Order: sequence, then C-alpha cells, then structure tokens
Amino acid sequence: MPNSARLSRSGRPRQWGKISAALGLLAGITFGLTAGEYYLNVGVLAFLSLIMAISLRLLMLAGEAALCHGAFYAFGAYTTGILTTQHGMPFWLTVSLGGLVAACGALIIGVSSFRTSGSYFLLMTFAFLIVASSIIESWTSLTGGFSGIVGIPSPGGVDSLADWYWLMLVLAALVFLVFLFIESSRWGLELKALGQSRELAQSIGISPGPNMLVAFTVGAFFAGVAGSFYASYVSFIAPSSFSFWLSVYVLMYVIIGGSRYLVGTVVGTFVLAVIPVLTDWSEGYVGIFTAAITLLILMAVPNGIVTALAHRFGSQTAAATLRRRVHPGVRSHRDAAQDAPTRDPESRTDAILRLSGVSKNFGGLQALDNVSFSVRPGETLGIIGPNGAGKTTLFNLISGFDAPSGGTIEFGERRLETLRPARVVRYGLTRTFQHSSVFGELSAFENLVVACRGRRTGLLHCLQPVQRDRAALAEAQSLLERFDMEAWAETAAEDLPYGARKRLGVAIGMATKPRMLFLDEPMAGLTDPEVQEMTELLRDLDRSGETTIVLIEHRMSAVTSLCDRLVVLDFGRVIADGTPNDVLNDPQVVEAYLGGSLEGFEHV
Amino acid sequence: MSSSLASFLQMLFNGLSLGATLALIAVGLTMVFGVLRVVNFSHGVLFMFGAYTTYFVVEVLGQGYFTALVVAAVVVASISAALGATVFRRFEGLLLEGAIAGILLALLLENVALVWFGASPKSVAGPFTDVVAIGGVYLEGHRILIIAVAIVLVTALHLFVTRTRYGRALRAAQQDSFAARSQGIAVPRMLIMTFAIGGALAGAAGALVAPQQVLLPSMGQPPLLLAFVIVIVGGMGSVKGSLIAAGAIGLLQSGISTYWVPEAAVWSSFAVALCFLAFRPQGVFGNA
Repeated sequence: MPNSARLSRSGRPRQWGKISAALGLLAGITFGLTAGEYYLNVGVLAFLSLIMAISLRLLMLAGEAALCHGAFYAFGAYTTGILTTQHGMPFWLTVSLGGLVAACGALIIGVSSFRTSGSYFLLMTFAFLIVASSIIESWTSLTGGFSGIVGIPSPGGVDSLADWYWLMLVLAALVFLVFLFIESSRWGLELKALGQSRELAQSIGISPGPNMLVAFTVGAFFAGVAGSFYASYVSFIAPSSFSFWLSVYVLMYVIIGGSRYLVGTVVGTFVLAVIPVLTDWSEGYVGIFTAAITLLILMAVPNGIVTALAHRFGSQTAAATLRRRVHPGVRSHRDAAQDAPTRDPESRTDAILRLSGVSKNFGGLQALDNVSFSVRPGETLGIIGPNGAGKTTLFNLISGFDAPSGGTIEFGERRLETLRPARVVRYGLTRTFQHSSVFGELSAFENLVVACRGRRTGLLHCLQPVQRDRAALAEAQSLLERFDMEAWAETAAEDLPYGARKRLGVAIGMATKPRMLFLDEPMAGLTDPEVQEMTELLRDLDRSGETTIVLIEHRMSAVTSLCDRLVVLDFGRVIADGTPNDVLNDPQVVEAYLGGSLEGFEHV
Repeated sequence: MSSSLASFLQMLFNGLSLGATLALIAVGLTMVFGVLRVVNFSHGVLFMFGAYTTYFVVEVLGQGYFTALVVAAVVVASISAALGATVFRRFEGLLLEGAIAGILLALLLENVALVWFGASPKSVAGPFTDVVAIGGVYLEGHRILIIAVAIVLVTALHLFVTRTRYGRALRAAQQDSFAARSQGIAVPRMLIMTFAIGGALAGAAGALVAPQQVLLPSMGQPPLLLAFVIVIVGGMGSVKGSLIAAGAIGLLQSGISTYWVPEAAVWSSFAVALCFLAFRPQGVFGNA
C-alpha cells in the first residue's frame, strides 16, 4: 500500500467528508434554485455564519478558543461601512482591507497573550471583545455610535437576493476549500498535534506561540472578510448587530460539530444557525434550544457529534486492519542489527553533553543541587534514583521546558540553559515524556509523520499537503516497521495497547533524528515480556549508532543490561556516577536507594 | 461645602455602593474559580434571579423587602448549588470547556427568564426611599443599606471561613484540592458549598439592586462583566483581592462617570483587565 493512501485511510472520515461536502454543495444549489425570498435570506446569513465558524477552526485545532470573532466580524463590517459611505471607496477594495484590519486586531491581542504561556487567552479575547465593542459604541464621529452607519452599497452587479445567495454560496465554498487545503497540509497536522499535546509538540520542534498566533490571525482575516460582506448585504450596521452572543454562537457552531473535521463545522452551523430559524420560534425558545442542545452535546460528547461518529467508524476500520495483520512481519532490521559490531569503548570521543553545577529551586524546595555529569557520544547512560530525586526535573532543564536556577548545560558547542524546547530539538536533542507520550487522536502513522519534520521550515514546505511529503511518509513508514507498529498504523494513538503506545513514544522521539535521545521511563508499566522487547529495541537503536540514549528507568534488569554508565540522583544530588557494576555496589547507593538489598529493587 | 468637593464626595459614595454590590458578585466568582479553576460565566444570571425573586416576593406575594432579601439569597443559593453539582463539577480544571458551559447555562437561563417573566421591565419598591442631603452630597437611604448589608455578609463569610471547621475545610479545598482530599475532606461537598455561598451572595446582590433599577432578563450581564474585571485585577481565586478590587473598580466606574463620560466607564475597566492579563495575569493578590 502506498504511504499516501495510508494517510488518507487513517483519516477514513475524509472520504465521508468529501461525500458529505459534495452533498452539502448540492443541497445549497438546490436550495438556491427553489427557495423563496425569506429562505434565501436565511441562506445568506447561514453562509456568513459558516465562514465565521470555519475561520475559528485553525485556532481550535490547536487547542485554544477565542471569544472575539464577533469583534473581528465587526471590524470588517465597519471598515467596509466607513470606507464605502464616507470615502467612496469601491466595495471590493474594502473587503481585503476589512480582513486586514481584523487581522491586525488579532495580532495585537495574540502577541501580548501568546508571548506568555497564554493560559488566560480565552479571558483575554473576552476582554478584548468588550473593549472593542465599547469603542465602536463610543467613537461616534467614526462609527456613528448607536445609530450606526446606513446606506452601505452592494458590490456592483449584485442586485437581487438571489445574486447575494449565489455570491455567498461561492464564497463559503471557497473558504471551505482554502481551509481544507490548510488543514490537510503539514501545518494543519502540526496544529492538530499542538491541540493534542502542547508539551509533546514542543518536544518534536513545534513552537506553540508563533503557530497559535498565525492560526488566530489567519482566522481573524476571514472573519473580517465575512464582516465586510455582511455590512454590504444588510446595508445598515450598528453596535447591536455585533453582540457578545454572536461570538458565542460562532464558538458553538464549531464545538457541537467537533473541531476535528471541517464537515463537523458545517453540520454544527446548520444545526444551530438554520434549524431554529426554520422552526419559526420566538427569540426565547431559540436561545433555550441552542443552549440546551449545545450543553448536552458538550457534556455527553465533548469532541462534538461528527468527531464522535467518525471515531466510531474509524476504530472499526482500525480493528479490521488489526485482524488482518495480527502476525507482525519479519524483524529483519533487528537480525541485521544483532550482527553489527559493537563499538570499542576506547574509540569514544569527548562528551557532547556537559552539565556543570546545575541547580533548580522551586520556591524553597531545592529540586536539583549542583548536578554535574557528562555524556559521551555512543554510550548509553541511565539516570536512576528514588521518586522525587529530581530526574524528570533534570530532563526538563536539559530539554528547555524549564530553566535552571544556576549552572551550565552545554550540548556540543551550544549552551542550552535559556533555549526553548523547539530550539533544543533543532540542535539534535530530543526527549520523550512518561505521560503525554503520544498525540492521542492522531493515528500512529500520523504521529510519526508529524514528528518527521526534517530541517526544512519554509512556508512552502509547511503548506505542502501531507500526502505529498514523500520524505516524511517514507520515513514514518520505516519507523513503523522498525518499531513493530505496522499492525497499528491506522489506530488512533489513544486506542493503542499500552506497550504499543510506549513504543510509539520512542519512535516519535527517533523521528526527529536526534543526536541524543532522552527517554523518560520508557518501560514504566510494561509487562516483563514487553520490557524485554523494549530493551531489545533500545539496544538495536544504540548499536545502529544513530543516536546516544539517556534514560530514566526504574526497571533495574533493563537498566543494568542496557546502560554503559549510571548516574544516581538522590534528593537532587548526584551520589554516584560509574559503571552499573560499580554503582550498584556502592554502599552509599545501596543505603540511599536500594534500602539495603538488591531484592526489592527488581520490582520497583 | 464647595461644589467640586461635594461632587467628589458624591462620587466616592456612589462608587462605594456600586463596589459593595460588585464585591458580593465577584466573591462568588473568585471562590468558584479557586476551587474548580472554572470561570463561571453563568454567575450574572444568578444575580438576575435574585432580583426577580425579590420582585416575586415583594410585588406578587406582598411580603416585606427584608423577607425577600433572605428568600432571594436562599433560592439563588439552591439554584447555584444545583448547577455546581450537575454541570460545573464535570469541568474541573478545564478552563475552556468550563467557560463555555457557563456561557451556555447563562444563555439557557436568561432565555428561560425571558420566556417566564417576559421581556417587559419590572420594578420593585425599596424600603428606604429617603435621601439625606449633607452639604450638597445626597446620601440615598437605599445605597446606605446596600453598603451595610454587604459589610455584614462579607464579615459573616470571613467568620465562617476562619472560625468554623467547615470554613477551614473549604479553604483547604480551595488551596489544594488533592491535598485536601487526602486529608479526608469531602471535596465534592465543599465544591457544592462554594457554589451555594457564591449563589447566596449573588442572590443578595440582586435583591439589593432590585429597587434601584428596572428588572430585565439581561440585567445580569453588565455587573458580571465588571465582576470579571474585579476577579482578574484582584487575582483569580483571591477573595481578599476581589474585595479590594471591587472597591477600586466601583470608584473607577463612578469617577469616570462623574468626571468623563459614563460610556467610557465599562471599556476603561476592561482595558485595565486587559493590561493585567497581558502583564500580570496573577492579579494583585493571586498566585495562579
């Protein structure tokens, strides 16, 4: 099976997506040919809602939401209103300006929010919405205040309601296609990865800040464009057209369909924007219907209706695949690796990673105290110590997830103390996580494809459709085979059995082609045969000479058989550093860690 | 007394009474955030229900205003506790989903109120209609009542959380729900109690404001917005911070309305909140 086919198969709903999108378009055309004036108006407003909802998607794919798309819509509408009525500018010119004004708004709020962790982004967008709408209300000389702007012209040639309907249908279809293209590009996949696990995404080199900022700004641009068309369509705008609830509704359209699939957003918009109008209910009942149905969906299927349906069918295909492939293929690469000559310890060159005097305080707690050691290329280093000894903190400092309070970390010629995680990966140092080890909703294959980022980061490369990224696909495929994941290729990572998920975590790390790979408890929770298998895998990795492995691990049998050297941490200090044999016979280690006997150690 | 001094004192008085109402709303908001890490967008609806309950008790049942005040606090506390127990506890720690659930509840309940009470404005007669004029400063009796009741309620809350076993357990649950749980504190019960306390205060605030303004289903939105600003400025989860911020925002509102234009009051408060979110997201007293 060609790799690109595998990608689209992993997203089997995409086939359904194409069919339902075509059906939707057909329905839209039929509707336009048959509907009367009243319903055409409903249709035009529904298309505008749809564009708004789609424009929020990129941000939501990346795991954030905004409450200010109504403000961006208003920015576009007022830009068009002001420029056409007060400055006589032609409508089509004001459309792109409307989008740009909205995008600038997004840049301002995004830069100030994503600069930090962005944890209160939602509140920030909410505050921005309030400030923006109050300014529109009070800047009477520009916006007309509460009385608004009247007499906004239609674009030339668009005279009747039917004309508007077809124009909006074409526009909505175009926006749909643009976002379909973006979402199936490498960048779209990276946004999804960010939405699944921000930590893991960083550890494969995707920086959250810039990506979220661009996703937010691009979305705002389209919301502004929609606003421009809205202003021209209704020809009269006032602050009351852009209430808080507008932003809320847009968010709900995406939520109830589910942000995973573009078609979900279309379904969500239809359910919430069209059904209530068609039923001819009074305002109060529309609100009750919308709120109740969305709340129920949010509580029952948090990922949205369409995502839930797709997941259901998706896992059935995966199960079928599994049955066909229950016997894994021949492990040829391993047999070859077994014959590879082991490197002579004497030939090892100088250390590539050097820590000197590294400390870390959390308030009054000294998590790491003056830690110094180094790692030479090709050796396998184990870091052991009781729980709370500071092992994971140490990994966080080295990989850039946290900054040391003191000391230096040198990797080759570079200093790592102040670098962000995405930069550390680019220099060739990758870490895995004990807990958020995979991107849950992506298939195993997609997990690997997104991690095979290569060194190219240009715009064209980012927007290239994933299916055409042959290098990444081939690499992901070879990693699948190498880590014995063939049978699980199309399974969503969160549905993988535990052992396979652990292997996938290591494979994701390898996909970044690290010179040094830090593994945080790759064997925690595995059964004994699985530990055996993982040990073999890591030994093969080591022998292949592609990377240098540093691992935190409690399974002593694995640690002693894999590692050339052990560093023992206790209460944030290095209490021993040497060959496994020496270290485990060190009385201090035995006292501090082994509790006086080697027996219980085996089963920690 | 010179007229500029009089208008300054008038501004202080009005600002304090506004701050007192806002404090009652903001305390519930910040307590819920403290224990659940959820921003409760439906909190304004509770305030609205407090006002309508007062209307019902005073104007329909013909009971006294103070009876209505107590009934409003109890009724709204029950509504709030029910919402906490059925909806919000599922969203613990989920900032985004919790906020959306709150918005949806607000939309739902506001429209229930619209269908139930109708869109026509209602009004309630207050117990004190006297206005005391001291040297050009007009002290409305009802505003004095609002300040007094707010002080009593906040003091009672303070005594409850510092002096009683339940109160201490509540604070423990707010500081670290995991540690509290491992100490044998029934955190879910504390959570419902937090919602009940927040609801009682918001209901009382609605009852206090009812004689001052017309009642509409959407009346909860403006004070909720200001309560957000207060919670952000005071530090998410900090009761002390919200009390101080409530006073400050009340005065800011009143000051801008007196010396500039009333329209600028809301957006300048939100501009303050935006600056805090961008540069000091933990607020003045928070450590979030």
